[in-house]
Amino acid sequence: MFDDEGVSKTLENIIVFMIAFILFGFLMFISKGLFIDMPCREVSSVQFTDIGNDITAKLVDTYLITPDNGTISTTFYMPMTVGGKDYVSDIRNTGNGQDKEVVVYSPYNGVAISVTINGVNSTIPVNGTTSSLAPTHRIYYMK
Amino acid sequence: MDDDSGQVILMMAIIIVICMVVLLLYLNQSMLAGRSSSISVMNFPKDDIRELKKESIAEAYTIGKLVNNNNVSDKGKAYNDNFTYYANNITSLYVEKGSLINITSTPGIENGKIVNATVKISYKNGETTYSENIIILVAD
Repeated sequence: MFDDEGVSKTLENIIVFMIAFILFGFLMFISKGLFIDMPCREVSSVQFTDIGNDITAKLVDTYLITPDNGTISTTFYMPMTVGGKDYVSDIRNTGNGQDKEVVVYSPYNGVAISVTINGVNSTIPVNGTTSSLAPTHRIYYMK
Repeated sequence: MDDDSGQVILMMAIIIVICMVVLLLYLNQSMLAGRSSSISVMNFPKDDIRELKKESIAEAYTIGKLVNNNNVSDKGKAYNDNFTYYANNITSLYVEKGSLINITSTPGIENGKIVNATVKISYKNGETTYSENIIILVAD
């Protein structure tokens, strides 16, 4: 049995209350980041990867059947919001400056996913940008 | 004395339940990954357009060659009749697939022989439109 002669019931209550108060306050402080931001970033990165793959696949497919003398235009679907916020999809230069990549990013939580379009840009220059709030998203080629 | 043995068992049960819920949430997210990109790849009519182009070129070439070899007076009319027949058939076939196509062809005639043919292809389904002009040289 513990020897608790030196601590009264009141003092024990106060100590336990203080420890609980500090822990609880700390938890409240980090709860938004832990329970809202982190899952939101997780969901965003999974969804953005999917959207980036979607756009890249469509781009490469369109590239494979580009006409020598004609036009091709195809629409693709992007969910209007991911994690409750809108986002933007861009085509940018890759780090080495020799290729291009599709970058899907959210200005709200800073999640950015890039998917490279391997080599397409060397034969047909690709560029463009679209916001998830735009009514239609289109890939267009004309020659 | 209270009977308070078995505290660890209860504690472990709670921890395991929380872990399983967290894992379930992650699993739920990963189920959706890759869904829209695979749908998009499946829906894109890449092969339809390729086949259409290939068939039309082959058909224009074959008709041109046949008309040149046959002893008909109006080669342009013979070519157009045959190509329209093909175009009507292939349009019906593509309507079955859910896409609207339009193919026309104009023969280029020199010295009473078809030397080339211009084929215009246009393809539409709900999300993709495609149009192309192809000039085919017809050998005799």
